[in-house]
Amino acid sequence: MLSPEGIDAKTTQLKAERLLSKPSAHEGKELFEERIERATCLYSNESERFVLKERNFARQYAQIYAVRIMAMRKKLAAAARRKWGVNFELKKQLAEVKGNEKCVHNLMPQPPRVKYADDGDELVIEDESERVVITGNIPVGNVVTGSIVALCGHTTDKGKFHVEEYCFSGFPYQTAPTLEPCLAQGEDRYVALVSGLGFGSESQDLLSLQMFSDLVSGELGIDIMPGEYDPANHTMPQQPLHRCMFPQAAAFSTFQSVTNPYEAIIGGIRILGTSGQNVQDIYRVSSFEDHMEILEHTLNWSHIAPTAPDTLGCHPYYIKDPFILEKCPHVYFVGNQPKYQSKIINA
Amino acid sequence: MDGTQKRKGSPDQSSSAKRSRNENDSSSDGGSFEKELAAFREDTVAYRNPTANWPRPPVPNLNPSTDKIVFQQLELDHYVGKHLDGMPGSKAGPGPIIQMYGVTMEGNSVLCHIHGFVPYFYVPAPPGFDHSHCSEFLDGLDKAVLSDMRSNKDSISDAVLAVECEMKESIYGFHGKRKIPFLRITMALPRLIAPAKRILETGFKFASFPERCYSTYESNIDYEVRFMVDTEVVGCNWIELPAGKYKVRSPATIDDSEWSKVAPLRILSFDIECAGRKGVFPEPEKDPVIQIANMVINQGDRDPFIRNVFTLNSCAPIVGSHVLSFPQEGNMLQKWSEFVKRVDPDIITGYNIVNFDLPYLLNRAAALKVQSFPFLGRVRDEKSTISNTTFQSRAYGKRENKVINIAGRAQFDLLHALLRDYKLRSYTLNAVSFHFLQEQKEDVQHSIITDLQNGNDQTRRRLAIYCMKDAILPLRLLEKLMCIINYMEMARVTGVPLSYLLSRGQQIKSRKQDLLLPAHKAEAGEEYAGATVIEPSKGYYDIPVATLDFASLYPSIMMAHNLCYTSLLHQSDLKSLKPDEFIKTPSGDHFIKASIRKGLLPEILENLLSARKKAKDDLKKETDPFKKKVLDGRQLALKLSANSVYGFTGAQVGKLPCLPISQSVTAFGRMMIERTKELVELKYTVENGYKTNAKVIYGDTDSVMVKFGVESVAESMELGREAASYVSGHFVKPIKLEFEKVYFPYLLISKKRYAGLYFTKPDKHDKMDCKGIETVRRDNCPLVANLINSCLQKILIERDPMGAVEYTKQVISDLLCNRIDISQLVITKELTKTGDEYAGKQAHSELAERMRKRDAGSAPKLGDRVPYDPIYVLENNIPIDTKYYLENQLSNPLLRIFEPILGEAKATSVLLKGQHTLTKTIVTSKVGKLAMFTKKRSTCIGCKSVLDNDGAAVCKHCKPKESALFQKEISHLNALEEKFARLWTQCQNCQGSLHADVLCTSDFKSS
Repeated sequence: MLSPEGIDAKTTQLKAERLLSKPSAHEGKELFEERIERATCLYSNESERFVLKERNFARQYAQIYAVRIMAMRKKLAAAARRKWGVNFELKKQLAEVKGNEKCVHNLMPQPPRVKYADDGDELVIEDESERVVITGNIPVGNVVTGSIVALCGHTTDKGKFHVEEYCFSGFPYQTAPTLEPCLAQGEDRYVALVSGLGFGSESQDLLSLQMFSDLVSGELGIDIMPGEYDPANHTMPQQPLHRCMFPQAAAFSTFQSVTNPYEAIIGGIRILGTSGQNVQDIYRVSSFEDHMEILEHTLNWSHIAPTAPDTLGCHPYYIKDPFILEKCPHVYFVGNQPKYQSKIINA
Repeated sequence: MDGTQKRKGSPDQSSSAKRSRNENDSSSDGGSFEKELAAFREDTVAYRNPTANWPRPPVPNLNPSTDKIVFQQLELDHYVGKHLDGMPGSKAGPGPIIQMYGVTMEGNSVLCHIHGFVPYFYVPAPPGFDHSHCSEFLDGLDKAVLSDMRSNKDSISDAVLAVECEMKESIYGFHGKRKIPFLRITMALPRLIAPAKRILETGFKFASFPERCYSTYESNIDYEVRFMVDTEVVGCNWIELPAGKYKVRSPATIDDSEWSKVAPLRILSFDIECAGRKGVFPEPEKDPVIQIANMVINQGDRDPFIRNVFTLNSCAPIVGSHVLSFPQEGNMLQKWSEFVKRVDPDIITGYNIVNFDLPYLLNRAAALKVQSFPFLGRVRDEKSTISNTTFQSRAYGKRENKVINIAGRAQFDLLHALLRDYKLRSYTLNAVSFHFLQEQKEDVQHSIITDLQNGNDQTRRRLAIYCMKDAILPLRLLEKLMCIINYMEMARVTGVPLSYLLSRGQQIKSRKQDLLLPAHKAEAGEEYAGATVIEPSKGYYDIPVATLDFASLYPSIMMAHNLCYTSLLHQSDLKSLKPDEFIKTPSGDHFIKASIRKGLLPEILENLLSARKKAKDDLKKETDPFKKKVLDGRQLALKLSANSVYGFTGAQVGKLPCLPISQSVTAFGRMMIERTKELVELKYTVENGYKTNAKVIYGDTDSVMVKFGVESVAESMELGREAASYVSGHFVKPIKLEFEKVYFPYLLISKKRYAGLYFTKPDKHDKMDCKGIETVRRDNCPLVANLINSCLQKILIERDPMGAVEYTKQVISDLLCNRIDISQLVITKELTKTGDEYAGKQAHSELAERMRKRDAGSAPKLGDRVPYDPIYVLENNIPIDTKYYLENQLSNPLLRIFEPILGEAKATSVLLKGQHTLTKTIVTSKVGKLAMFTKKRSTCIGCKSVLDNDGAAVCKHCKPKESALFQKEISHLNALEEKFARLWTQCQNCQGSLHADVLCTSDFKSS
């Protein structure tokens, strides 16, 4: 971190717009006497699945759940076999469950229509055929609507399903990063994640922004993701901010407006992240207190945003659920959280 | 309760008491008849899963000579049965037998046959009559009645069983406490009372006595009620049949706490689905019943213990529920009928079952010739039939109803109970459950139901789940609204069977004394002045206004002044009485004072009110939530009963209306309100050392509003309390004026219309109280209610009348510019008459007629609330007549509120004629002829100028502002997307499934 010493008093009076515009000729000279050739990495944008090709609002939300459960069923079956062995009879649908037989099952628990989690919540499991109240050994506050789970248990006379054990699909498969040569040789490259810039807000701290700008502007390309309160669409995935919003910055080739969520491979490292709505929403409807814990759970559920579309606005997808984690990222980030935290998970 | 029951005859008690199973005793309750308990029956059959829990618990092995039976009786009726050996009553012919249905604490059902109670009535004995003439009178009347019968299919040989001479007194009027001889005439059958009465009233002569018209007494009392009164059985009380002795527990005394509990009643809630044809309301002759969902719960439990669904054709299994599939409809109906008998519910409930589900099932079964179906009751051979009644009362309006007899099972149609007890905008099950449970259900259209039925077993499963939801919601509502408990307490308090409360009005029973009730013929046309009010001084009061209320005004007037049938004096009686022995009421009627003879009604009222006080005291002490509910239901029932005592003296079609009583009561009420005004205004004056002269600004039936002129709520409360006790001192006990609340500020609009902030504590208001103002009325569009509500909020809570004026102007302007959401403009109105009955064409009846023509299946029926200005407007792009809304819907309610504030003339000019009414947007139909001459061109988003280049969004002048314009559009998109997401997830929550498409037909406006 730079200290404020040595910063020209003039620069503290900068207007926000200037940060977004191309440095003027003489200013550029002043600040960067010599042009430095930017260190580059191989880059590929992996966010294709988050880009909406058509916006069709004629559909309902049932389809997205259907494609989600269909896609997850195989993963879950594998996870269930890993956990409980192959001798268990696997029931595909709730409708197949009868009487007191034991079975394994894939469906989705949900706390019923409460805005915020509460001890009195009841879990309900549902698949294409029906929904059943579940009781027993499953922590009510630690699952959310839309997450897919395999349950081991039996039905009770009261028409409920008693859970003995449960199992999520677990972390998705991670491929070892194929580092590009320079990185493999031990050279350093950096990815800066910045969130909560809050342009235009009253309490905006222009000084630190300016310092940040000075530090990185010459170094990197900038990808910008829209957030909850930005002038973008509401439902997930949020589409890239329109270029007309950045009349001056848009001129740079290093400026790229991207979707939220955003996934890219940089220098062989798969990076995936969101602007935070998914985690905030899970926080609201579960009893999790730690945001990092939530993030970890979304990996374990193999799904970035299970509460979409129930409590988190979401496009009515019908062929594919883009929020399912097919490949485990090497770096998984989320912005706009109360504080900075990081954790390395080895699974 | 199917074929296992047996009716066991009980031989004559005197000769073979030990052989009889359930003995009776005529001496224990002092009744003048003998009862014979014949038998009770129970169900012992247990079946394997999952029908094992259908039957009731097995009956314990009873030894009739040592075990007693205690049960809560729920309903009773009578039938005409053959005489059994040794029984009292007509030996030769058939006699009436009372059937009492009930449940024991263990959950066994009981049917008790009571023999030997015979109907009777009274006539005054003719002059010169003595005991020796009784048999002559009997013979004469017996012959007359028998010859009056057209046919004698029951082969009655003795119509009149006995004639006895007793000393009695008519309840009507004061007779100087003298009793006169009456003839008690006992008839063989209840239905013979009517001909006997007619014969006696039109002229009857016997033996040596000349022809004479007799007035009959107590001849219009139902046989069952007669039985209950004489045996002191009240609705839903507990009955004990001890070994060897018959005894009634918890008689008219209603404070027996041990027996105030409620037996584990079995409640069956069911719903049927029919496969209708498109556009036609299902007809039982043609359209099949495809599903019947059933839920059975024990009163007090949380979850039903039987959940099943009968389906026509296969249906995929449902976890936790029992699916019974039948390839043939007739078979399904028959099995359902058997199911009902096996489960043996005490109460059958559902939503609109009486007018739809039950008649449909019965008619359908008849159409399919399922002979065994209509025997749903507890009496094996009694067939359930349908008859029509039209029920009309001032309180509930006109309703067409069907009546279905199912012996021994109370039918509690939730829709009827709701129509009776709650005023709602809509009575669809969806609206009702949202209102009370905050839980919605999907509305599946009739045509979709048929499609689902014709699909596969998965689609039928979908339908079954929908159907079961409809069956469980009534149970949840019953629990939430405590219907059963409240009605049961009401039955106990009023002493009539449960079913009477739902199907008839209330009656009262009380005949402990030797008083007789004359038979009264209903006559219409007598009117009397109702309660009047002190003319309101309209205005907006920005200072506290105290409200003084008379507690239970009418009952206390009746008690204070001894107003009763038995104390009513005829003009001719006055001469023989001293002036201090009677009073003259303000209406000019005379009543004897309580010191000479205490009236019956005041005594009843005292009992009721002291019982209520006790119930309220118990309620405070009680900690168990369930018992609390029972006690609360009881005190409410007692309050209603006390108030209804006044009601039936004024009811023209009641058993015994008495105009002098009711008009005296209201006259006293008026006088007391006036007197209170005088007293308060005389005492609280500047001369007497108070800050300002107090003024009574308004007085209604039982309350007066006093402006004391003080600034703070606390001071006003202090004075209010003082004034209440001061004024109470001037009235006869137990009349009591109570200080209840302070309104501050207070907006007095007119008679029965006012609003104010309601204070019972000096520091914080309890609520905003509005009476007679459009926020609570239902035949306006929501726009009116919302606008008035917001205005009142601004006026009363924010104390900003001018802000309210500004707000109103804004809304009017929005309305005229078409900026109001159409859901705000939907008007609903109750369809109270059929189209022809309305004199003029009324929008809602016309609409109902048109809807019937378009789609008879979904057309509204009598009593339904019809929403008009429907979605049709949106679909067909019909412009809305905003001016109509302003002039016919908004202007009057608004003027009423603002007139007290702005003054009459100013209110109109400011609100309705101001500048804000000048801008109007008139939407024209896009389907008009002119549309043919128009051509579409793109316009700039910013300035609306026509663009040359169709690909661009903005013109070159607006290009610099492109970012701002884009932000505006994207924020619009953002808001719409949010609405989209919220709407569909809400609908998914409501339908209770995330995986199925929402099929609901509810329009989105109401979401």
